[in-house]
This record gives sequence, C-alpha cells and structure tokens, in this order.
Amino acid sequence: MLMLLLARKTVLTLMFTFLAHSVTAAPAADWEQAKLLFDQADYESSAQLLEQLVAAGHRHSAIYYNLASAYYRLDKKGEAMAALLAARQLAPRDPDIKSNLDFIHRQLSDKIDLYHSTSLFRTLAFWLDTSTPLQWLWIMAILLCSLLVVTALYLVSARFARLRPSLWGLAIATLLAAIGLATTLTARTTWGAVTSREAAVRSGPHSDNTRLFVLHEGAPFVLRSVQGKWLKITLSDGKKGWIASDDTRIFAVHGALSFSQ
Amino acid sequence: MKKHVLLLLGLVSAQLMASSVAVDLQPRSAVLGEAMQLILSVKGEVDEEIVIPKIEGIRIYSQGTSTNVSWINGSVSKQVSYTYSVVAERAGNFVIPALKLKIAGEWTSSQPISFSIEAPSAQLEGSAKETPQIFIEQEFSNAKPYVGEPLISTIKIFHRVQLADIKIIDQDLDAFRVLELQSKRGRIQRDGVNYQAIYYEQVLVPSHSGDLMVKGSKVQATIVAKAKKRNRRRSFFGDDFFDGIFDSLGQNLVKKTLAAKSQSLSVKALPLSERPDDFSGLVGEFAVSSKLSAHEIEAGGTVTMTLEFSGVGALDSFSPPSLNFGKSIKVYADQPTLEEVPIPTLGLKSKKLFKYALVFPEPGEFALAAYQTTLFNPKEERFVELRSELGTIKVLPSTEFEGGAVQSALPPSAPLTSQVKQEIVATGHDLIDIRRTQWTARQEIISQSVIKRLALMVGVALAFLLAVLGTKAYRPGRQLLRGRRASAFAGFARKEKVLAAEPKTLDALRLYYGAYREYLGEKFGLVGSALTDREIIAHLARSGATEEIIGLAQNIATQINQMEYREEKLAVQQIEAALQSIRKLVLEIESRC
Repeated sequence: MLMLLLARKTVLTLMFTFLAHSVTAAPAADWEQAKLLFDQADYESSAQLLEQLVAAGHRHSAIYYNLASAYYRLDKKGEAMAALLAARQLAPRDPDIKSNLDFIHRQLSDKIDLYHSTSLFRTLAFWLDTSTPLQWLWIMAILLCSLLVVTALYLVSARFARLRPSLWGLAIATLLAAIGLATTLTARTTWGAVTSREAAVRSGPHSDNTRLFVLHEGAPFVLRSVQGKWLKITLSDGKKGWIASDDTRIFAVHGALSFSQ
Repeated sequence: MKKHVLLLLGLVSAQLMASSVAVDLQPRSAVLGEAMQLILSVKGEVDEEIVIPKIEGIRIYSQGTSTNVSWINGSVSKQVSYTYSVVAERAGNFVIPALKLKIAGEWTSSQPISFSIEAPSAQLEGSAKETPQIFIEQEFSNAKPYVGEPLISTIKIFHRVQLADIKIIDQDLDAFRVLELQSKRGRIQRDGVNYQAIYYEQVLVPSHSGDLMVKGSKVQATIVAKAKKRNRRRSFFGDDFFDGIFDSLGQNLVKKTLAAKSQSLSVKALPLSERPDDFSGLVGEFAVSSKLSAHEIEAGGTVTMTLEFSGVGALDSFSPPSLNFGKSIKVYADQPTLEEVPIPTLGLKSKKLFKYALVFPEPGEFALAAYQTTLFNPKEERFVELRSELGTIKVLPSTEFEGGAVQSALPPSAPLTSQVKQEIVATGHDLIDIRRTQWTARQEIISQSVIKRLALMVGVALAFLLAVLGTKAYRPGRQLLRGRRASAFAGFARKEKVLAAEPKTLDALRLYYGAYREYLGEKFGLVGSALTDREIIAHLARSGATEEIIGLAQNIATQINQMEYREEKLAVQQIEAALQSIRKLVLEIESRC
C-alpha cells in the first residue's frame, strides 16, 4: 500500500514538472525563433512571433524592443514607435530604448515631444518618468518586510534596543515608497502612435466632428479614453482630440483595451 | 664702533645649502634713517616660520613675500622671496647673522651679511630740510618705439624717510603688454641731498601704433616716522612679543600717494612700403635654427622637426609657421613653447619652439625646402631675412607592410604632446541591435505572480513578528513589574535606614508610614502613588493577600490614625511599636506576595 502511494506521488510529480516545463518552454522557443528570424531578415515572421508573445500576456521590455526593431525594418514606423513607447513604460531608464526612440522620432514629420509636458505635479514627482509601479512595489515590500523583522527583533530582547532609530527610518522609508507607488500608479499612462500615413484628429468620436488637426505616421500620443472605435488622445504639448483606432497602434502594457486591435 | 650680533638660530650643526637660501641686502652702506632692503630667497618649501633675529640698533620690518614657480624640463621648482625693510637706529657697523631655516625637512643656513650705517653730515641735514622727503619719477627707455618693440619703463621712488608697503596702485598701460622686472635699490644724490632710490622696472611691448599720452603711474607708500623713543634697556613687559607691539605703537604711519608726470610716447607703425610678402610679423633681433630628430626612417615613420626662434624682442604673438612639403609628407603641428626673460638692459629675451611631426608614407629621399621668412629689426629699421636649412630625410621601405608602401599613415602620437581633437562624424544611422538575452518569464508589470510573491514575503515577515509577539509579549511587562516591585522594596528599605537614625517622634512615624504607603503603591503597580488606608486594604484583598496580612494592615491603619488624634500623649515606645508593626507587615508582604 505504501509503495503504491509513493509511486502515485512520483508519477504526479513528474507529470507536474513536465507540464510546467512545456508551459514555459513555448514562449522561450518563440523568443529564440524570433531572434533567429530577425537575423535571417525575415522581419515579418519575427514580428509575428513577438506579437504572439505579447498577445499571450508577456509583458517584458525586451519583447517590445525587438518587436519595434522588426517593425522598423518592415518600414512600419508607427508600430515601431508604439512598441518602443510600450517598452519605455516597462523600462524607463533603458538607454537602448531611449536611443532607438530618439532615432525613430527624428524621422517623423510631426514635431511632437516624446515626454509629458511639464506640470507642477510632474516636477514635484520627478521619479515618474524614471521608475515604474513594479519597482516601487518591490521597494515598498522589501522595506515593509524589513520593518516587520526589525520590529520583531526589537521586541525580542533589550539587546536590540539600539534598533529603535532604524525602526523610525524604516517606517518613514516605507511610507515614502508607498507614496512613490501611489503616484506612479496614479500617473500611469498608455502611449500609442499613429500608424496611418495621415490621420485626422477630430473634436468628437465621430467622423462628422470637426477636424482639429492631422497627425502623421509615428506621431506619439497619450491615450485618455476609449469610446467604441474612437480614442480620446492628448499630445505632449496639450492638444486633445479624437482619433480613429484603425489609424493607431497601442500596446496596453498595463491592461487590455476595450477595443480589439 | 663695531658690534657683532650673534644669532642663534643654530649656526652650529646646520649643513650649509647655498643653493637653497640666498640673502641680499641693498645697499650695504646707508645714512642713518635710510631704509635698506633685505631679500631672503628660498628655494623649496619652508617647513617652519622664518624668524628674523632681533639685532640691537636695527629694526627689521616685513614687506611681504613673492613666490615664483617655474617648470623646467618637467620638474617644478618654487622660489619664495621674503622682503624686509632694514632701518638702523644708530650709526655703526652691523651684521645680520646667518638665518637657520628648515627646508623640506632639512636645516640649512644663509650667509651672514655685514653693513655699515653712517651718521648724516650737518651740511646735508641742513639742506635736506628744504628738499622733499619723497618723490617719484617715471622714464621710458625709448620714447619712439616701433609697434611690437619692447621698451623699459622705470618708476623711480626717491625718499629720505623710512617707507613701508610700497605698491603701484594705478598705471595707464592698456596699450602695452607688461612684463615685470625685479625691483632694485640704490642711493642717489639730488641737489646735494642724499636719497635712497627704489627702481621698479617693467618691460612694455606696444600692441598698436599711434601717439600715446601715458598717464604717470601712481605709487602708494606708508611713511614710517618714529614718534617717541622708548627706553629699550628697560622693557616694561620683559617680553619680546609685547615689546614689539608697543614698539610699533610708538610709530606714526602715514600713507602717501605719489604720481609721476604724464608722458607722451609715439609708437611707430612698421613701414609699409618695404614690407615683403613673407613678413612673419616678428619685430626684434631674432635668429632661427632647425633640427630633425632623424635623417633616415622607414616608410610610415615619423620625424620630429623643431624650429627654434630666439633673440631680443617679443615672440608671444608669433604664430606657428605653416609648412607645406607637398602631398608626400604629412605635417602635424604641436603646441609651441615660449620662454620669455625680461632683462633690464635688453628689454625682453625670448625663445619659441615649434615642433612638427613629419610623416612619410612613401619610401624615397626627401630634401626639405629651406624655411625662410622676414622680420623687422627696429634698431636697423629695416626688414631682415631669416633662413634655416631643414635638411634631407631618407625614407626606407617599410618592413611591416608588404610592397613597402603604407596604405594610410596615421597621425603620430609619440612625439606630440597634444593633438587636435576631432569631432565624431556620424557615418551611418541605424537602430541599436535587438535584445539577444535568454527568455525570461519574469513580467515587468504588477502581475498576479508578483503580488503572490510579495504577499508571501510580507506574510513571512508578519508571521515572524506575530510569533515574537505571541511568545514574548507579556515577558517585558512582567520583567518590568518584577523590577518595579523590587525597586519598591529597595526604596522602602532606604527610607527605613534613614529614619532609623532619627528620633522616634510622630513626624518620623508619619514619614515612615508615607514610605510604607508608597511601597504598597509601587507594589501594586501604581507608580508614584501613595495609597490611602482604604485602597491598601482593597488592593491587598484583590491581590490575594492572607487574612492575617489584611488584618495587620487594618490594625496599622487604625493605630496610626489614633496616634494622629492624640498627638501630645504619645510615648516613644508606642511609636517604636507602630514602626515595628509596619516593618513586620512589609516583610510579610514581601515574603508572601
């Protein structure tokens, strides 16, 4: 009986290990294949594989970065720009992403800044463009754990009485990290780019609305809201309007959009 | 009369280093009241402050220091000149003894200097009263120089009084480049009156032509006049420091500003008519020489060519001659080096070196064309040709490259001390290459897996804290209470010890009873409170005290109250009994609770 139970347990363990491996092996293979195809100048297939990874819910800056390179080789500057903007949201301090963004940005016909316009809030919360909510969450969690452990040590014995200033320091640092997390979550935005050669931005979510201005391929914008097939957007200089979603590409790194792309 | 003052800054064991310290006194003989200048030149860093010894009959005032740092052949040398004003208080022969200095950790001494002071003659003293005590003059060595031709400006300060803090405060020399010369001192007789003279010399190089009205230079000096002679034999303080302060207080210091007369200078332009096409812009008397570092090299190798211009005149604005030997020789110019030495008689002696790296990509024999240019000699007032043969260089086929030819010659780096930096020129534009890292399942957003991991981490830490709280929570409080109780009894015991020596009066009993109530308050965890009789009984009952103890406590309370009521009729024995009762109760509580 005991032997039977042990055998059953071993089989189950092996099955679980195999399944777990097969689940993680597929995206890894796609990733390697996408790199190989890119090196073979099959940019279309490479982009397709990378899009599959994105569609499967993988959110890593390297995927968007390589996807942007593939799209750029396919002369799709709009898609490339959108992918790089998404990569920047995941890794805002990455110098390669910044370099490629600047490189494509220089080739665009619209003179639109790649960053948010400066406001008092953004000036005070200077960390918004250089950090992500995930980073703040990790910082806060580590500080909170440290605070709990130090508190416990402090209570265990009088020998740890000297940890009292550290307790205060950790408590304040945890609070600051929580503020950092809250602000980055609040100020989180979704960037996109125009993919059509020319796209009209209108005063409302309908083609009958007044045409306010025209954007060209690759023009970056911030998505504010979605209404059917229309997106309410803001440019970095503050201009606002509605643009047809068919003329744009958005990689919603923080969550799915309500329209299908 | 001859008196030697021996000083003492260690003449004995110091090793002489003549090259490190030099002392000069100008003039060596003076009339009483005239100031002399003592200059102490030290090469290197002085480790300890220089102390000039006190010499009887002589006063020495510091006039400041000047530092000269020079860099020759890559080594830095520093020379500091300490200037002092030396004034005698009486006639006679004097000696400034050797000064002992610690330079760079080693002791060294200067040479002693002797000088003489004469008493002023009656005739001169009489005439001197009508002549000025101090005046200045300024003169230029050449009133009609050519543009670029150095001339010497001399500011002469004549004085019959002791001066200190002499400085030139205003000069109208915008049209000149100015190089300072070292000042000199001397003696001169004007209108039958002896004056001491200070000569400040400057080399001026006119930067543009035209008639100039040069305003006279202004000099500020402090006249030191002795107010009252103090008896130096009997020092009030008996201390050199305080005596020094009061000696200086006994002087009148008067600041005086003197201005020389304005003068006109006519700076001549260089003649245009005879000016040759290859005129270099040099004005002066110069010679040029050339030198090659090698006469035979391999193809692709480098030869350093040096052109040296030297002579009398200014070379600061002389730009490097552009050399062109055709396409077969590449020329790279180095930064020129300039040496300028102002000389009182000549004006300015200059030397400028231009170095070029010559690269020979192809083998062959190259005869370098002679370098030729012209300069203007202001003394002869004509243009003079300068010429220097550069020589021949034999370039052998390179052993490093097949075919003996160098495809491209790189700029040499070894012979040049500095190279011209080049802008980075973009030769192509492209994206930075794709990421080639291994696949990672790690997400860069706040995903559920991240939240799970963080929750687990925080949960473990929280569990640890809760576990600690669960097992240890009451322990610190218990320890604290135990300690407090122990300290309560200790407090009671201390008070009891104090009261034992006191006479057994009602007041002593009251104090003792107070200590007892405080003890109980502490015992029941009520810090800082003295319980009432009723509270004592209630707390004892609540804490599980025996009936015997409670009864004892009630008895004590009653006993004390009765004693308070009949205050006058108390006997010592009664008080003693009450005290014993309290002590007994406390001990009972301490042993049982």
